Amino acid sequence: MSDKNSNKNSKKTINKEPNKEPNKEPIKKHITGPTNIGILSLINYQFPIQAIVSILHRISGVILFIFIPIVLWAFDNSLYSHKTFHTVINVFNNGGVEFVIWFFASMLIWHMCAGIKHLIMDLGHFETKTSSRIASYMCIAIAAALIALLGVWIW
Amino acid sequence: MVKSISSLTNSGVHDWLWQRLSAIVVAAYTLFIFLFLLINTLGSANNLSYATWHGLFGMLWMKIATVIFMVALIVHIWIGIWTVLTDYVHCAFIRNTLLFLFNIGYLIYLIWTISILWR
Repeated sequence: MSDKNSNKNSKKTINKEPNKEPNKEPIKKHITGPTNIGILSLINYQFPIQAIVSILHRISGVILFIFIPIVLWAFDNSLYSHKTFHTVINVFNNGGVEFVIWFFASMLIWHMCAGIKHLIMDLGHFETKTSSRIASYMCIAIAAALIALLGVWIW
Repeated sequence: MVKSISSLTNSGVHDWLWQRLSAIVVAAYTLFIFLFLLINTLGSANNLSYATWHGLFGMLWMKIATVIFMVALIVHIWIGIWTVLTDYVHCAFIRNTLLFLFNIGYLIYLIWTISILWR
């Protein structure tokens, strides 16, 4: 029944078409899919805190990935012999290297905090506009406190 | 359904699940190492000794845990790097070349880890 009705309707519209005056120039081009915005328009764009937490999670992940060979080198030497173990310890006690370790561990703490927030959100929490903002600020606060404590531990 | 040959499981839902399962394994192991270092560097034992560190990784359960951690880490990185590269590298040739090179890297990391543990 419904098919027949739709057929009738479509026939009616087809019959009506020739009576309509065709538009000479279309006013607006119909957009059929997602379009990109200009990259420069992002400069003045105020990103929501959730977006900032999300992109920093991604950036910290890439930084941690880059550190893997260095960590494996340290792991290798720390277990090879008594001598190489102390070489690693001496390298780590260098002032500049201490900062690098602090930076690496900070990225790790941040990636874990934002990741745990992500897992909690997967369970269906913090999904409203307000609660997700609160969760993002909490994530920043907890990570900042842990990174500060890490600094106390290292220095 | 859209399938991708270069992603870990060829399925978005499975990638999503493995990303989270591997994250839990990686986080648990990292927290353990962190607590181990914290306990052994704070208080009376001011510096971690080679004997303590070597002793920890001399135990079979720790070796197995480390290999499980490394496999979970590689799973996590594989999915993560795949997601990042498919978002930003639009040229298929460059993207697939990078993914291929990274995949060889993951294999080297795993072999390296096993060779460190069973030396």
